[in-house]
Amino acid sequence: MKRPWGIPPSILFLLSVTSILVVVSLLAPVIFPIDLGATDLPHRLAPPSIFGMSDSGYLLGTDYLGRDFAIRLLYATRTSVVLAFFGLLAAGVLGIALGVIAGVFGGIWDDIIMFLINVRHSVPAVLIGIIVATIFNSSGLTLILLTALIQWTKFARQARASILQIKSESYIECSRSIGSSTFRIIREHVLRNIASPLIVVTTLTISSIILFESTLSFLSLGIQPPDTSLGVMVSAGRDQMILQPWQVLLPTAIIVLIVMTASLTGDWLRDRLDPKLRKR
Amino acid sequence: MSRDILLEAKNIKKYFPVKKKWFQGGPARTVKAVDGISLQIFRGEALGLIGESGCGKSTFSRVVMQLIPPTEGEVLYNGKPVTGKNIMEFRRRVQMVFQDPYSSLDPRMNVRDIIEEPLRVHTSMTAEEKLAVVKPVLEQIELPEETLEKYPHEFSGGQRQRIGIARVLVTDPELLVCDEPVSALDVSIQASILNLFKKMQKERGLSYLFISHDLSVVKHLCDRIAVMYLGRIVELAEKKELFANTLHPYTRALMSAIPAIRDSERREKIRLQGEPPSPIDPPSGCAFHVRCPYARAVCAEQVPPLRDMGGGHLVACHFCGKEGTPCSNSR
Amino acid sequence: MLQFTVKRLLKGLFCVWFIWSLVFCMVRVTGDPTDWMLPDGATEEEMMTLRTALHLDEPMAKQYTDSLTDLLKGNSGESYYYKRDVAELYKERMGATLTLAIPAFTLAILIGIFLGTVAAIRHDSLIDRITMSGAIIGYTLPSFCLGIILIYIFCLKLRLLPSSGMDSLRNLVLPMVTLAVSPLATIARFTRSALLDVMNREYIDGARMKGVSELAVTIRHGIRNSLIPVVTGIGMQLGTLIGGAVVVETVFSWPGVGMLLVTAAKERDFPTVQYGILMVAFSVNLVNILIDISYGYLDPRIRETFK
Repeated sequence: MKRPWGIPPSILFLLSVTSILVVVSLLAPVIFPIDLGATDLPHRLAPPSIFGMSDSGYLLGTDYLGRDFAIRLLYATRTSVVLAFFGLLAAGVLGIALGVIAGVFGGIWDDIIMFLINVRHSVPAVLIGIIVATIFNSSGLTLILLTALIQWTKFARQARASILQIKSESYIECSRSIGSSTFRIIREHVLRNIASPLIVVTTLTISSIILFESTLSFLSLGIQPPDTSLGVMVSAGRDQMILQPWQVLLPTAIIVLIVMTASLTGDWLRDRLDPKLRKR
Repeated sequence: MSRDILLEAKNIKKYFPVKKKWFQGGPARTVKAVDGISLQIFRGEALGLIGESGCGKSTFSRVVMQLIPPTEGEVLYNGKPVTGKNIMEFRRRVQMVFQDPYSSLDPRMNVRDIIEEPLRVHTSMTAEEKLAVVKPVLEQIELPEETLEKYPHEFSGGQRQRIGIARVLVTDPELLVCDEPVSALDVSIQASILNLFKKMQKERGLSYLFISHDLSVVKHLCDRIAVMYLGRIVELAEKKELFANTLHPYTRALMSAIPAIRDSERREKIRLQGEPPSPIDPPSGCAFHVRCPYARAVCAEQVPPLRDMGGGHLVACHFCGKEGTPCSNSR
Repeated sequence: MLQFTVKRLLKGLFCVWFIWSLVFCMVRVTGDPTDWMLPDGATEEEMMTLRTALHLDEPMAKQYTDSLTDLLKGNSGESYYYKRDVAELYKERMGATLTLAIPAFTLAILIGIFLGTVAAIRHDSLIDRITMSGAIIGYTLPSFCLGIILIYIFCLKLRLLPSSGMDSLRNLVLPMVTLAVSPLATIARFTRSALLDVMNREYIDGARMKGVSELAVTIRHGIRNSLIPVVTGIGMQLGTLIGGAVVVETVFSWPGVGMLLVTAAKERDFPTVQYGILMVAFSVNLVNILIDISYGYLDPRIRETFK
């Protein structure tokens, strides 16, 4: 099989599996429309019917409120993924904008933005989540804003570093001396030179976001029941550990899968995109 | 060779405020990078500009290229100042070759896009039309056609510099301002690039403003040579005249530093006293007086004007050429 | 050096003050805090009493300066939930957290650096691959999942260790291991890359050519020069550790500061949470300041940039 771009087979495999999972989970409301709040206590903790283990009719059994576990797992994945996506977008836009400002204008703007980065790193992400959960109502929107507030620094640092690096090179000045307008310079030179490292940052940030959201939801400070996310499912499955350990293990596996795929892809991208820039 | 003036710099001064952190106090200081330079470049000639690092020659080149505005003075192109109206025409006809071949090419653009950039800016040619222009230029800089699809990091310093030169040739310029174009290259490569410049001067009738710190480099290529010290011109003459009849003490020191190959060329090295002064606190009067072996009292008081010693040989020194002065005509 | 130290201290203090002010604004930005401070169903009278007690009906600027002076005087406020002085609450529980965190962090640093060094020296060998794969699992597996799984294996199935509480040394094992895994994995990773980076540089070749043995070269030149990125990395792990402690304490019902914070958040016990945030911000800044100052000693180049 011809490998596009020289992707190692392990990463290609991970990416394929994760993509399929993500797509299926996003389609969950279409394929398996359910009411998340509905409970079915008579059927609680039914055994799974997968591999012919029983004939309960529930693929992976039910949870402590009688809800189909497999379907809930898909919904949980969907929530975590969607939140991660929008959080990423918000953090990226905010971070890149601030990083570019710091790099291009320098001076007091640079000092201010670096100070803000320092402020953000004075408090660990979990604690920021804690204080926001104390003050505001936990919801999907809160989580997205929280993600933006926490993760923007990675984008800002990288954007700033890229801009500073470009500033020290002379091809921008060359372009000006040829007669290029500022717009053309940004379009033809700046964007493509800051893009690659930012793509790496984006990929690596996905891991952080998924881990953060699941941790916060596990602590009951994130997504609130009856809505569900991967963290909520681990928390709910905990009491079932003795008899039905998959209720913790499966959401864990999904978290690990997504985080690992994002991390390894990010690492690979970073190595792949870098040597090209190395001179000679 | 016709003697109409292609580009004229009139009393260019460029001062920079010294950058301070916004929370530091104290009075503002200025760097007087260029302190009153007037030069003319004739059509078809190669004018060399020589000076040490930090003497302001790069700044001057940026002012000439309209990349930074002068604090005082103006630049005339074909007798007219460069304004919003004719700036694009200026940018077509006057191009710059940069010093560092490793940072002057966008690492993420292939060679074809790099060379075609001026065509994209100034024309609306189609891809085929652009290629038709680029191919002969590629031949001129002596690089094969496969170069076009490759990326800068696949080339050596000398090759990259050729690519940079190709880039400025596609709009058929009249004047090339070259800021130390060979300083970053191995000595063996320098010769081939200089020959390329010479070739283009013949084939295209190009004019040059050629900036360097190395007299031997400039000697090969230029018709007239100007010597710069701390933001001012101290001597300007036709090449042969300058080498045969070096007048200014600074130029003489520079000349003596050229490595001699033949015994007959060996000369005593003139060592200058003192440190190269900084352009933030330039010495009063003649900027060179602190290091000049012939300095007198008046040198510290008055700035010497550029005087014509005959035949277009200009010198900025109170004493050169006068009878009985130590630096006149003796070698 | 002194000027640099002073500047750095001021920057840290400014940072903590800024965070406090941010929190102050956050509390008041959504309108009346008494809305979420009291349980649902509180009467209007109760809300008014609370409002007066918290000085919320006074002008904003006065509220700000009053709170700030309060804080500087050392008054940490009273917990809404526990009805006790907040500082007291933290004092009681700090010991538990430190008992957990210090060994965990030490373990993470020692084993992390060791594994990272081994992996770097035996670059591309089986040991390297195993260590790095382990590290990947270490930082992709969330600590709460790891904790639950460890409880399942060692408490429920094997009945070897207790799963909660703080009664004996055996209680310490699982939480400590769980807490140590994530920083360990990260420290191992960047120790390895910092060491590899340094080992590939030319002055190492110079030492090798002099005939010094491979091990001595690695230890003396490699480690000394990679000390800075490693110290930076370890400093950055402090934040992760604090966050991790919060999670681990919750999973193992370890009665420390972390668990206090989570309970307080669920109960909307604002004074407790605020005090915790400030303490953490202060400590993290302090550690960063110390690290920056130690840079001045370790790398003379950095001293220059701060003049």
